[in-house]
Amino acid sequence: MSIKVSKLAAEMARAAKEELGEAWPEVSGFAKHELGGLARTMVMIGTLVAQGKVTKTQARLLLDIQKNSTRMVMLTAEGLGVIGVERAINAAVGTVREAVNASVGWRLL
Amino acid sequence: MKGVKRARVVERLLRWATLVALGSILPGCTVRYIAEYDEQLDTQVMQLQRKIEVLLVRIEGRVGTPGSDYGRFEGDYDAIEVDLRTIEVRVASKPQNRRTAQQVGLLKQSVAAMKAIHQEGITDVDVVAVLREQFRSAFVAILTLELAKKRGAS
Repeated sequence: MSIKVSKLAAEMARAAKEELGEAWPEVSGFAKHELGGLARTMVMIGTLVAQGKVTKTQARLLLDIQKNSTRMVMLTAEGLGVIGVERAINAAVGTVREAVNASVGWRLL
Repeated sequence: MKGVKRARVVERLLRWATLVALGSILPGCTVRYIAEYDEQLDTQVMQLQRKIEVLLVRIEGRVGTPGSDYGRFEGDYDAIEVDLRTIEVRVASKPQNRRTAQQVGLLKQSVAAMKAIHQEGITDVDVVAVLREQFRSAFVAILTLELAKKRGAS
């Protein structure tokens, strides 16, 4: 059974998009690139197993590492989304800073 | 009249509550939901990445010979584990660093898995190629988030 890297990468990106929701536009570049790499590795593991180059235990361990790396990519994507929200709030506060400081008569913001 | 007065008081209180809330969530005038950039962590993670890459290159060059046996690399794994624990403590000491802490925990698990794979014996360079790509992704993830914290700073 052959697995196509592009198909797998697209499926992984779709799942990530669902998981990350509104943050997706902000993080899609990073996530698509890294998940594409991980899809290639996934296919390579399949080939190693098919060719008998790893034992069953080793194959399971490689899959564990694969899951960990994918999770780490998703954590970064999530973090990038949070930083995006932070930036948006700070920009919004920046726009009202002068008005608020003037209204209280001292530098609150 | 009483109702109008009360409404004015409530309005004034709400206005002040909003300002106090803004002030309290904005130390230094910015909100922060994620830890600040840590230059030392950045350096430590890059050094660890280099150690793992050196290990992979050494294994790769010796695959198929007794030189690739796990026993010859025990010291390398010990050094990597020490680095990981140091990084783990540093990451845990920073507030709002949950995601990076989770990533370091996952990296620790991955190193343990690689060690177990090596203990069983690596007989083909393609196994090293897979491990290299997996660890590359892991390190890119950690460093990208860390650098984004720097860019996120105002």
